[in-house]
Amino acid sequence: MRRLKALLARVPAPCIRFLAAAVSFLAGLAVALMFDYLLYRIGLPSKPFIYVSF
Amino acid sequence: MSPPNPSFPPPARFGWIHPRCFLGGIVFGLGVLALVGWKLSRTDYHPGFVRFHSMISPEGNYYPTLDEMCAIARAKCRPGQVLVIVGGNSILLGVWQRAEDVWTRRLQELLGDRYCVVNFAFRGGSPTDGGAVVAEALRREFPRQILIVNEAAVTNVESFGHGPYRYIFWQGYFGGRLMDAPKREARIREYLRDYPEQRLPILETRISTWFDAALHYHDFWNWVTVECFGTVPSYREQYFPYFLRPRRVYPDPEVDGTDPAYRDHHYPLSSLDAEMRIMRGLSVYYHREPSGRWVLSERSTSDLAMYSDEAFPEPLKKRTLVLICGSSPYYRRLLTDDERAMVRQTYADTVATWRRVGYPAMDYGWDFTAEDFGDRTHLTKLGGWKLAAQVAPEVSAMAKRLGYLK
Repeated sequence: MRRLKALLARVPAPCIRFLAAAVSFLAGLAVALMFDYLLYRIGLPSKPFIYVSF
Repeated sequence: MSPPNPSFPPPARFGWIHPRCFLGGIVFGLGVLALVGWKLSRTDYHPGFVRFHSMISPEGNYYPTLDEMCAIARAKCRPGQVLVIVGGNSILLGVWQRAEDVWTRRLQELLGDRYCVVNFAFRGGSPTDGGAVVAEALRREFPRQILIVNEAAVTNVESFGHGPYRYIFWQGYFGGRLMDAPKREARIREYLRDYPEQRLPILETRISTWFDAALHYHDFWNWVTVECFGTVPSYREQYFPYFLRPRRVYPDPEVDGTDPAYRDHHYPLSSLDAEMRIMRGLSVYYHREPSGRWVLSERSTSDLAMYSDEAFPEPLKKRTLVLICGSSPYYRRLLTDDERAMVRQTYADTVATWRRVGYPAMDYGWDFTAEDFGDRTHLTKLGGWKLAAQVAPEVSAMAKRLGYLK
């Protein structure tokens, strides 16, 4: 972690801004994916369907 | 040594997160997922589809969508062919029949290339579930279509599906894909009046359908479940990590009922009482005249006629073949002569009622042997092939009557 911080500290400011924007965008994508999956799971019945025939 | 970078860490209030980029990512992500889902909803990702076996049906916690089923029908049926959709329950699904022997394959062989048979039956399904909704949703795209469904004798059919498969009806209904059917509308209103506790779940379904119509997440995640990895545990598979396997790797698990290995499973003594009660239970709808004739009660007659009449929209009745399923002679032979006559009468009355309200209908199974059945109602491949042989001429006759073969 310390090494990462040291590495980032050496990155020029415009690059850091771009990196932060990219990370934010990717985080947004990840949240969108999770939200989409959440909507899907909410839409599934909570009670299992167990078929029994006589 | 390089001088300290004043931009690190970023001075924003949210640290590394830029709110605009973050929100942009969410909107972009949802947009892309919706687009992919929309595309997938029009793609058949079940190549070589035979039927919805237990790992790709609600039994396996997999809920095929209406669009997914329509895509399968579109992929299978060429322009110019008559689309024959098989709905109904496990009997028409082909329980006790391996995928390669299933009766619908035999039906396809018998009907020939002018027809395309697609099996959309589900275990425990009713005539108005799955296949029926798909057929209605595709009525304009495939105007030359025949729907085959089945039901037990003297059984009322709800016009808007039932049980675990009703979600397919709601997808079509709230998605505006079904016909205007005043009788069905009235039945739904009556249902909501009689079962007020169902209003909230149906409202939730309605909202969910709207969201899904915009975002197509069911189609997207169903595709992921089939093609990439399991997204939901299956009740028919061990838990983690097994449920992560994509559903496409699971073979159709249905076994061949004629295999001697399953002989003991067909008519187990443990279920004899239950099976006989089911068969004899039909007598509650009947009374016996002094002449010995069994007569269906007035109430049951009118109920059966009303439910059958409302089951499908009026213009779709003529293209819906209703099969009334017979029971295995293994159990029939255990009935008294009187009881057998009563059971026979229930089938005759049920077929007559469906016909009276406008459907082609037939019963089957009375000339089948115990080996044609895998249990009381399900057919082995031998019975399935006999069924196909009886249904094929009826389907051809219907196609001719409806002017599909011009």
